[in-house]
Amino acid sequence: MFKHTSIVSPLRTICVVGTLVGTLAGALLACPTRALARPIQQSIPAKQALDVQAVSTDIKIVGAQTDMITVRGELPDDWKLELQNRGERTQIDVSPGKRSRRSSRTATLTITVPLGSSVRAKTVSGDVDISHVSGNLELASVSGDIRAGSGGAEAKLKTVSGDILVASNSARLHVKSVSGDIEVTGARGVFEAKTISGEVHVSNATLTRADLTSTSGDVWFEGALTLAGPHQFKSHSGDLELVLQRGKPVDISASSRSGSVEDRFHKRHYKGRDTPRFSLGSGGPSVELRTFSGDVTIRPH
Amino acid sequence: MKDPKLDQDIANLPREIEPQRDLWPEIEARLEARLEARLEARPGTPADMPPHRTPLSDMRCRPRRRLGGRTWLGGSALAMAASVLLYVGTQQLPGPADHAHAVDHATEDSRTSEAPKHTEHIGSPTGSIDLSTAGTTVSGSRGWQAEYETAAGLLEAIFDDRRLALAPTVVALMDDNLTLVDTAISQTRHALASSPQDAQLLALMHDAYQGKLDLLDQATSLPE
Repeated sequence: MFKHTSIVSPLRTICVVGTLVGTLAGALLACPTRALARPIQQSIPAKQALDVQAVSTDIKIVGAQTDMITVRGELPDDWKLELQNRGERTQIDVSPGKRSRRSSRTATLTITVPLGSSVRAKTVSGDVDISHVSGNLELASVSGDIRAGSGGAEAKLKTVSGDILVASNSARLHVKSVSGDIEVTGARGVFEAKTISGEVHVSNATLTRADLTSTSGDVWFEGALTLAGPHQFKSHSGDLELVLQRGKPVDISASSRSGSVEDRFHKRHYKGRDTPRFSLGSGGPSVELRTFSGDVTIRPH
Repeated sequence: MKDPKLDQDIANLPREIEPQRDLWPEIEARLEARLEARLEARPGTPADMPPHRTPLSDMRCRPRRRLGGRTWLGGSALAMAASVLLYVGTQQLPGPADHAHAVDHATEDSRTSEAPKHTEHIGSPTGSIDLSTAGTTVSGSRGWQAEYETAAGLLEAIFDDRRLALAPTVVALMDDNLTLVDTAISQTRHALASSPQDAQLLALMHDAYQGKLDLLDQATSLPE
């Protein structure tokens, strides 16, 4: 009896101490960002173009009447931010410390740039949000979302699983995701969107050339397609829907291998392997819709 | 050291050599086997989806953030991928030449029109393929399908080499989406077997392959 008690007591002590240490370690790992984040603010005279490269960092870029680039935000205490000018570019690199590389720590940055700056920004798991910038854009994130409320002559936006939301009047807009959704409002000029399993949703667009493609997602378009063309809307297994204004001429060719094609302008419905072609008005641009197993709908606004 | 005879012999060599037999059946069999292996490795994905639309909820696969800290760029992989894609993009790969076979359903208040010609894809980083110069049959398309497969195979090898360096969630997402495009290719190929002259199917096949190259382009340039 005595011997038994002497064994249990140290075991109980080990268990209690172990539980306390485990709880403390868990708490430290669970919320290190808030506890150990430090505020930062740095400025540098602006160059024409800005490069931002980061990892788990939410990046917000705002254009303003300024000739400086200013970075504000919060970084985990062992992270490093480098802000420097190299040639005609200003470069911002955010690199996590050794302790943070395998953890879920994140940083947030707000970067103020001159209105006409060109911006190239890449992050892995953070969001990228840009507004009031009229230069060219090249934005990429792996799992974060991209939101672009502005853009210059050309914008290229790319994610893997993040969504892309654009309200832009860039003359050439290229958007690509793997599984993220693409939502664009007010596109003008040339617009290319490609996704594998995401959806493409375009509204209030006036395009001289459209190429919208998804492998399994739906493609929805509302707007005007101008004469230059050609305009293509494609999905393997997703639905395609075009909402067009009456009185704007287009020559349409639509096909679905095993789905249906519905022309609500003329109240016609096609099923099977036919490729209906019809025109709205005369002399319009070529518009092609094709899907393997999705449905196609063309209807008036 | 210069050897005129050797130079002459080299100059006399033929610029192109036709294969002694049709290689496509073996290539196709290997591709099918690879696709089946991938589908089997991912339970829940039908090996040969029926030709109706798969529910979006089944098709989509989107692990959400956060993926953890990784550094950017595998430089050599990116360079190789860019080279391969540039090569494929500059080839004049065949596809549908016209839509002459297509049934015209012009309505009373609409007029018949020429089907839109494919011209080029807009500024794709993977290049563009001029479909207006295309062949119209399966046999004619085998050449460009083989080109696509070669390029895709190279990129897949690069991606395979980088798997361990990438976040598991990203690798799983890429695999799921590769399965989607491979399924699209497989479905289209099966349909082409019964309608070898169908220009729309050839165009769909081109779309599916282009989607695969775009996907692999992203997969090989992912930050580690």
